[in-house]
Amino acid sequence: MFERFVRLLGILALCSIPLTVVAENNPKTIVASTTQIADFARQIAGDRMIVHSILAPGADPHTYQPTPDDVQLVLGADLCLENGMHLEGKSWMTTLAKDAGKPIVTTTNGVQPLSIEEEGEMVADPHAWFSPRNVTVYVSNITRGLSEIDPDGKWEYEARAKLFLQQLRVLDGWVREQVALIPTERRILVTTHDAFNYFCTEYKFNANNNFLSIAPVGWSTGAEVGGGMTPQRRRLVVDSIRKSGAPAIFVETSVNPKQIREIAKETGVAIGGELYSDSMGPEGSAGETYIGMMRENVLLMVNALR
Amino acid sequence: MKNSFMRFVLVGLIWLVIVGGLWFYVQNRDARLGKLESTQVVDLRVDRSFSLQITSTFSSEPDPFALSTGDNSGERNLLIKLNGSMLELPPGDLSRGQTVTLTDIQGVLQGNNELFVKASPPVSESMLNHGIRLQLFEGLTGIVDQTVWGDGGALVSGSVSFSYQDQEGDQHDH
Repeated sequence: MFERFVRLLGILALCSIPLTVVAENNPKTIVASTTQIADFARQIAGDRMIVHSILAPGADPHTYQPTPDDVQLVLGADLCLENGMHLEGKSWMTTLAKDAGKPIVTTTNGVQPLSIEEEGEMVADPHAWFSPRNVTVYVSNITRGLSEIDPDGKWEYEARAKLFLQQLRVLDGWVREQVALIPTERRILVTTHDAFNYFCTEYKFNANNNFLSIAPVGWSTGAEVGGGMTPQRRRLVVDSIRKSGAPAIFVETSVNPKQIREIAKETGVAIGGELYSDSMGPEGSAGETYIGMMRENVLLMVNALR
Repeated sequence: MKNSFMRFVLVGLIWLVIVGGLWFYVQNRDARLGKLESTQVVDLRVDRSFSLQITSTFSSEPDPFALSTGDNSGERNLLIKLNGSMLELPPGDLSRGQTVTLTDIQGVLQGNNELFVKASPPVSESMLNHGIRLQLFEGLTGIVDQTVWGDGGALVSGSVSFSYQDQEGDQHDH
C-alpha cells in the first residue's frame, strides 16, 4: 500500500517537471514580411521568440506572390509584422494575417511619410527604413507588439531595443561622416528603382532633384500608380545623368539590373556596384543585418562617387 | 473501484500540499532576503547633503533615436542617477559651457558609490566629441571631478565610480 502511494507520488512529481519545462521553452513565433523587419524583430526579441521572414534575401516585396508554405508559416505565428504603405504589393501580408486570423502590426505607423508625385497622384514612399531615424518608429512599434503578446518579457524587449537604437544613432553619425567624403556636387545617387528617397533626403544626395532619388523604375517594381518604368521616366534619368555628370550609377540586389545596365551603356557611366535595397543580403554576407546592409551600401557609394 | 478513486484523490491532495508548501516556502524566503538587502542599504547612507555641478560641452536635445512605446515617452534629455536613484534636475536642457548646480543631494553611501549620466548631444554634431563634467562637492571639498565622453554621434553615457568614507581627511575619488 505504502509502496504504491510513493510510486504514484513520484509519477505525479515527474509529470509536473516536463509540463513546466514545456511552458518555459515554448517561445512565441513572429512572422515578418521583409528581411529588414525580421532583423529589427530579432534585435528586440533575442532568443525569447522565433522570428521568420516571408521574403528571402534578394526577393522583391512589390511583386511577391505568397506560397502555401507562407500560409503555413503565418498559421503558426503569434504575431505578424508588415511594413505597410503598400510596400507589400496588393497588401499580401495583411491578407495572409487576416486569412489566418492572426494579429498584425504595421511597423511604419507613425513614420512621417515622404510624398512623391507619380502620374499626377501623391504616393507615400514605403521605403522608410532608409532613414535610420525612421527605424526608431519601426523598433518602437515592434517592441510594443512583442510586449503585448508577452508582457513578462517587456523589460527585456525594451532593454534590447534601447541598445539597438543606440547602434542606429552611431550608424547615422557614421553615415554622415562617410557621406561628407563625397563632394556635394558629386553626391548623385542613381539606382534601379525609386527606393532611396528617404536616404537622399536624410543625407543630402541629388540636390538637383529636390533631394529625392533618381531611378528609371518608379517607387514600386509592380503595376501600382507610379510603379514600373515608363519611356518618359527613362528619358528623365538619362538626361539627369548627362546634366549632373554622375560619376557612377548603381544596380540593386532585389531588382533586375537590365535597365540600369542599358542606361549605363547609353550614358557611358560606370556601374558603382550592387546596393541592398528592398531586401537584405543572404546569411553569411555583410548585408545580412540592417546595420551591415546600410554600412555596405554607404561604402559602395563613397567608393564610387568621391 | 470507489476505493482506488479515493486513493488517487488522496495522492493528488498530498502532492498539492507538498508542492504548494514548497512554493510558499520559496516565495517567503525570497521576500525575506529582499527585505534584508534594503535594510543594509539604508544603514550605509551618509546623513549629509552634497552638491553636484554639471558642465557639458554641448547643448542637449531630444534624442531622435529614443524608444517610444508610450510609457517611456516622458524620458528627459539629461538623466543623472546616484546609486541607482534619479536626481531631480531643474527644468530645461543643458546648454553648452553652462554649469548647472544641484544642491542638497542625498543618497551618498559609505564606501562605493556610482554616478550615472546620460545625455543626448545634437545628432548634427556627430563628428565632434562631446563630454559632461561631473563635480561632486561636500561643502567646499571636492569628492569627484570626472568627465564622461561620447563620440561618433553616440549618446554621452557613462558611470563614475567613487569611494566615500565618512571621516575627516579620508575622502578620495577614483
